[in-house]
Amino acid sequence: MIKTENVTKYFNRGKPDEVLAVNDATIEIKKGDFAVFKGPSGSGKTTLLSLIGCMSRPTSGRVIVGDRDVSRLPERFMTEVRRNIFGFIFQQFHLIKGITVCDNVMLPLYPVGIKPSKLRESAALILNNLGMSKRIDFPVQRLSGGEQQRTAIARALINNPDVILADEPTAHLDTQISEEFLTIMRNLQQQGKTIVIATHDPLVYEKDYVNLIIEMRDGRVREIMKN
Amino acid sequence: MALEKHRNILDYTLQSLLKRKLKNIGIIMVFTLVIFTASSVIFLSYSLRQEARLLLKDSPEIIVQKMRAGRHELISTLIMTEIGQIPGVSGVEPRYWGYYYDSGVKANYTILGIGASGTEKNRVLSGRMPSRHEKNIAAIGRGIAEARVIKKDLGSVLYLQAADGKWMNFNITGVFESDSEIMTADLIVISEDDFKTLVGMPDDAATDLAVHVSNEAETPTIAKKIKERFPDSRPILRDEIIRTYDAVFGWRSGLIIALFMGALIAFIILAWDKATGLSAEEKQEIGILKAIGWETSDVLEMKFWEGLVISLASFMCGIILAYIHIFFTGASLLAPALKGWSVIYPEFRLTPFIDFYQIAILMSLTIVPYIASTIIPSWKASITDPDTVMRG
Ligand SMILES: Nc1ncnc2c1ncn2[C@@H]1O[C@H](COP(=O)(O)OP(=O)(O)OP(=O)(O)O)[C@@H](O)[C@H]1O
Ligand SMILES: [Mg+2]
Repeated sequence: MIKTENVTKYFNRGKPDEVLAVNDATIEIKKGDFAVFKGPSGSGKTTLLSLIGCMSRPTSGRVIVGDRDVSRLPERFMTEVRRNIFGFIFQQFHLIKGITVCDNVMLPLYPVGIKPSKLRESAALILNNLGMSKRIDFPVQRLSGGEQQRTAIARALINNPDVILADEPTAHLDTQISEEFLTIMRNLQQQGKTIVIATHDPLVYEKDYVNLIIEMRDGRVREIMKN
Repeated sequence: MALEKHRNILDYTLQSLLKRKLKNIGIIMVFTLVIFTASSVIFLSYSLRQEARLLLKDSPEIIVQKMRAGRHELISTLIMTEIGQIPGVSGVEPRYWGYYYDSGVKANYTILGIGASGTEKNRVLSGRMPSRHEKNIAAIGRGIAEARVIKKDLGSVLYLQAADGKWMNFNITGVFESDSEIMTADLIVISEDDFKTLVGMPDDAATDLAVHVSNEAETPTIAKKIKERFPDSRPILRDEIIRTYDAVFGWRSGLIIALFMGALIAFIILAWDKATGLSAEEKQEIGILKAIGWETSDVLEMKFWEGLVISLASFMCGIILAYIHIFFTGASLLAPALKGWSVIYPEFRLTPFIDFYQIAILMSLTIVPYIASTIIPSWKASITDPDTVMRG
């Protein structure tokens, strides 16, 4: 499903503040995997996640999604891959303030050209499944942390993606809500989706359904554990 | 499909604009003020110019004045015969006019003595004009009627003090209902005979002479001949007068343009502020939109709508307010600076003339740069990799 081959990512290449964030990473994630990137702060988890999610391009090496090399695609096609294959859940949720839960969830598909009524229908369905039916027309800034995250999950699911990418999803949540989040992810995995989570929270990577752990250190992949 | 896409993006844009209501209303207000000032000036000076042209349309091709030491003097009507014999001249007639200062209302009137023909007849009048030798009868502009608190009813009496100190009384037989208010508002038309008495003018004199020319192309040649034969005369061509009007109105609107520049500078600062920096919040929003699957072009489309909605709304408000200001309230804010020599325009109402060409220019000078200043910084933000939103 997703492969990286000798992927390296520099920030500010050639400048005094040059950073080698990912160094020669070769990994493979299969369809239906529940994968975790683990490692200390600054080890390159987020960077690797954004590389496979077509949010940035590697300095060298190849990123393969499906059977396409996406690392050299023009930006239009990168966007297309991003929209068709991935759903993102950000650490800070990154909901758009000032608009409702439903509008936030519909947002990724606005440029696709679907009738708003249709869009609303599918958004409501997803929100229902996440137990958010009472909050559909709520302004997002008044939601609790857990509700915000479920809104973010719904937004990641609206395009029915094959792969869900989540960066530190439990960092801002208490244990109970973190567990709820993981249950939702587990269900999605069982529906056939691929889950990739970057985290240093043991609550996440110690779950027995996590079948792939990629451990990072200083930008390098230090260990790959499969079960 | 494609249409839905644009509709969706426009919908979202409107939502975003409402979200930052206060800020956007502020921008629209500044913008509206700029458009209002600019289009007020354009409307006013354009319609003043149109009115001047309208009035001059029927005026003679050449006016001959007598000059002494650079000063305009009364001209002798005895030279009329000789001017009339110049080939190409189709008619010569004396004109009688002057200004009258009314200390009671501290205003100048324009007084016209009606001669043998007189172009004044073209003016829209209710009632009637005095004829050439008819004494103690006047037709007056609406402005005078109101300044003097004379009832507009025909039959009221107007008093003017003559050159010899005696008071003359005039029965009002007509009031101008002109569509070209600026020229008739302060006008008093009396007979030629009364005019001569009023200003103490000899019988064979006139204020100036109107010379009609049969072929307009010959006008400059004829003017030259008149000048040769009467070296102390000054022939004034109609084209020159039109140009002078243009210059005067141009100069006056210059004052307002100074005012307008102030507003424009405010606008430039506003646009510059937008062009140079997006707020952190806006940048993040662009990053989020890109990360969840919007293309650069979608983000730019949204910013385009944003700029268009704001600038178009301001433009409409500004233009409509300016239109009301100029044509319904008589340019109440600009009038003091733009009006003619007279101060009596109590009911100064202009006929709406709109120069669409100037509006189009104004539009392209404000809407286009504003949209550009909205789009360009967003374009910079939206071509960077969206992964920056993953931190921060
Ligand atoms: N846009 C950037 N410009 C410069 N340096 C960057 C940029 N993004 C990340 N880095 C650097 O790259 C390195 C890897 O960062 P990354 O965010 O991938 O680490 P991480 O493993 O996700 O850390 P954390 O657990 O704190 O989220 C860090 O040293 C970081 O400072
Ligand atoms: Mg990180």
